[in-house]
Amino acid sequence: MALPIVQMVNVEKWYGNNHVVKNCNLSIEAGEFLTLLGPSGCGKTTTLRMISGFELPSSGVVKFMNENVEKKEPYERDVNTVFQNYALFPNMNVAQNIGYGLKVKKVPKEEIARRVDDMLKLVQLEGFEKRRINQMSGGQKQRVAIARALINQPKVLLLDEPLGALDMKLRKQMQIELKRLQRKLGITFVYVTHDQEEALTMSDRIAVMSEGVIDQIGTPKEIYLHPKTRFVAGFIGESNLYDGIVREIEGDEMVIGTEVGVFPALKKQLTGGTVKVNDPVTVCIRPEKMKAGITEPEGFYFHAVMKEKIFVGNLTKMIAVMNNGNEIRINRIDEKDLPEPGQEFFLSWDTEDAVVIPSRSPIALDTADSIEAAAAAEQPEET
Amino acid sequence: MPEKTKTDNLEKSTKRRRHKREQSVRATISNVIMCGPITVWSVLFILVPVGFLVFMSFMTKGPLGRIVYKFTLDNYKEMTKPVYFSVVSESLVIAFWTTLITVLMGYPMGVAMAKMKKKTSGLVTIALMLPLWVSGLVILYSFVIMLNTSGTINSFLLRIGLLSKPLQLLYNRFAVIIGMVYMFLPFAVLPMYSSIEKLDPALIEASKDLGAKPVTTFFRVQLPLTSPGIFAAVILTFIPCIGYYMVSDMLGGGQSMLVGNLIFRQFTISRNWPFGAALSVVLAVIILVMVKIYTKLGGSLDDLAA
Amino acid sequence: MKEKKPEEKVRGRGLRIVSRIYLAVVLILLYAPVAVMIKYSFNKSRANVTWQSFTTKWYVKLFSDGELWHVFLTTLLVSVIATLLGTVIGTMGAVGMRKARFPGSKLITNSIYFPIVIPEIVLAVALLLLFNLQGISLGLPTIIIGNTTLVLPYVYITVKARLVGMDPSIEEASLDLGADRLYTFLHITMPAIWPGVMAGAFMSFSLVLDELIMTSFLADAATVTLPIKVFSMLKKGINPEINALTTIILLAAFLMVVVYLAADEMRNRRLKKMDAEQVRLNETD
Repeated sequence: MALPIVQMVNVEKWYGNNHVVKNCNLSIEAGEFLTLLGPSGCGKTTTLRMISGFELPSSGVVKFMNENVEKKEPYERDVNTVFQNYALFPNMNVAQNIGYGLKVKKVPKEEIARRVDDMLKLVQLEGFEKRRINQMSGGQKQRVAIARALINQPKVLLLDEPLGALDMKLRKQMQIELKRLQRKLGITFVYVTHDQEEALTMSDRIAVMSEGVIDQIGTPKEIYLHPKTRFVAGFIGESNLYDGIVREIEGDEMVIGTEVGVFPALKKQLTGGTVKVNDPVTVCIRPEKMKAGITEPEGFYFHAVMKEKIFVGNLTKMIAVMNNGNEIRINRIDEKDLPEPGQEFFLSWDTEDAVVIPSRSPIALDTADSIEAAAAAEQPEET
Repeated sequence: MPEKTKTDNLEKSTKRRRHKREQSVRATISNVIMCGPITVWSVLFILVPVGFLVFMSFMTKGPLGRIVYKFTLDNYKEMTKPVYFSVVSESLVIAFWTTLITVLMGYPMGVAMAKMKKKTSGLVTIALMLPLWVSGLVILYSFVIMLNTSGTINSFLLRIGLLSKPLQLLYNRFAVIIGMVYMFLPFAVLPMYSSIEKLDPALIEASKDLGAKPVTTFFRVQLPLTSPGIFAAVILTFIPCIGYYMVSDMLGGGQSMLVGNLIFRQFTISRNWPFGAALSVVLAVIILVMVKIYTKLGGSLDDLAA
Repeated sequence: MKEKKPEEKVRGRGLRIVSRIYLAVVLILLYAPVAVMIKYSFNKSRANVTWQSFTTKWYVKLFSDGELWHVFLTTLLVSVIATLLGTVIGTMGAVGMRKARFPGSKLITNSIYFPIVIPEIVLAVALLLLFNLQGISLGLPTIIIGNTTLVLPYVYITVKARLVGMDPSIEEASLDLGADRLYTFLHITMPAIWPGVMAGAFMSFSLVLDELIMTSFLADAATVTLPIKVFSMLKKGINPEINALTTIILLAAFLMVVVYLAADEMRNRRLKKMDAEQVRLNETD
């Protein structure tokens, strides 16, 4: 495997008594589009700023091409940043903004002009060179910011929620354009966002962060299909999450007792570690994998009552209630054979589709109680 | 549970090391270069002198204006004498009236300026400040010309027969207050203008819409919302007023002795430095208390140089 | 509601007119002493309290009065140096103290405000004590130090106000694009805070030009500035020559303001024209 272009090894960051980044280990491969995804305050921007050099790690090492860059100032690092609010220089016009990085390096004027022209072409802003910044729209400013960061031909481009200020339509358009740019230039992109859809659309790999910890790194598919923590399962896409404990393990199969009831699961669907009997786990079932049958299905099932049915165009979203009061989310593309609101139906899923996530912390007592109660009240009915 | 204690220990050990690097050496150097001069200057020429001032206020006055370095509280006790007490109260009375008149005169000016186009109000600001930029003192002297018994105002009033003999307008408290208002009005208008200008007209509209009378709207909505500007104007008038001995020297003719004059005198004619220092300390403390109240009420010191 | 609206409008306009008339009256009152001052610069009487007759001799005399010119030049020297020092130190300080967290930094940032929150005379006394107890003899340097201390907070505050309005990430963007801290300060930070720096410098200059309290405490007998000279004349009455000089300074200040405003207006117009042209160009594309 090629040498990672950026590496973070055991990086910690403290602000006073605030532990913002905890034991961060991250390898960024050359040419990939990596997204740091997480809610605000999860430490993703701080992580980015440690790569760009605006923050120094409290401990741990940041390496570029295997070289420790601790002593390198932001202006000596081979990375450039596209800032959240563009951070364009208000006292310069578009061309001066884009050419700034070259002017600093005392590149001859003619070459600056030529390369600025190239950049303007790249971001499709020809003819705008003399415009002042406050005359540009949000999307145009965004393009200028990207052009300005790319003119130095950095090995890595860092993007800190660059599309946050744009409206929905422009955002989608820019997502595609950013991906196009990244493919065309072959530069490594490190992208920070709290928008999971954005992350899934553009990334080669996603690092999901919460409370200063990278919970999981993987391709969008891995992250979605095999979330390694309860947080990842809940943050990315919709999900039905049930806390429970492992009751039995037998060969490839396990039996899980949860608050909604006891059901079988597959060992190969276990993510993020191993489990023993009585270990706490969380079971994640995506709404589109839930089955709502009017006729009794094969295998195990639960009884549930349809509560709401919402048609949102490309799919039908449903909320159902189980006998013990738990709400279930179900998404379906076709509308055939679906129970109507108020109707009782058979809720089931393929064991293949239930992902079992070992819990990091011991299960809370009240949850344990409700699991016991649920187990006593309702056994899944087998046919 | 053991897993938890393990992470706890890990957290503790990283906590101990956490101050290892906050910023790079070069960032620190650049900070030192930027902050150094102002820090050194503030320490040398503000903090240390104030320390000396407090120190001096507890020293003893020797013969012929010499200073005997012996601790005493006499300088502060001296101030409770009626003769000095009346000076302080006279200063406060003059400062009070000056401030009141200045704010009452200035606020409507701020209102007028706030209703203008930005460019026009800018011109008015310049027009307000221009005379004082040059030499307040010389222009202030015009009051001597205008107010004296044979001056412009008296001769005008005599000519139109409103007076039979000239009025004594100069060399009294009235003249000092006029002079002070003249000096501080332009400075007081600006913070009031900026707070009135920032006032959201929608709030006034809302109040009117809810059926409030204009008077109610003014006292219940506009005045409270523009109070930071008024406070700033009060501070900007009251503070210099107390120390400004020239105005009372020029227009008060020695009739009106203010704290400023008294302090000045300790360093010139009376040559009693410790007492002068003690007076300065008391003056500073009174003002600092006022400023503290001002900031507690939500005022910003930054507004004082707007 | 419908019937009320026009009435409301009239009242609003009425208030505007009344407030403008009021403002005009106050401005006239403020300029009355100025007019008197100018008038008496043409007064024949030396005592300069009563009007005698018209003369321009004080203006003529002014230009041959070596002593007064010396006083004026001293005042100018003090003003220029104190303004420069105050502006440089205050600007750097405002930029630096934004992020600085060193032990005692809070005390320093608070003490910077001291000269404006405590009466000038207190600081003057304090500095006098400092110089006296340290055996530093009074003179031009002590006056300059005192005045610089006095104007420092004004520069600090005006620059700070500009910094608050500046997006801090433009400095990071500059560092990110390869500029070191000095280059960033000169090419990014300075242009952004420039109006604040200029406002602070302007305020400082006009303050020092008219500064009496600080200067009279910290000056020796040989160093005389214009305000001190004027103040010492009070008892005998101010020499009309001073009126003449002040009139000239006032005129110069007025001309400077006019030139500045005209330049500003021209710049705005040019920018507007450029923008319009650029927009048109882009639209025809």
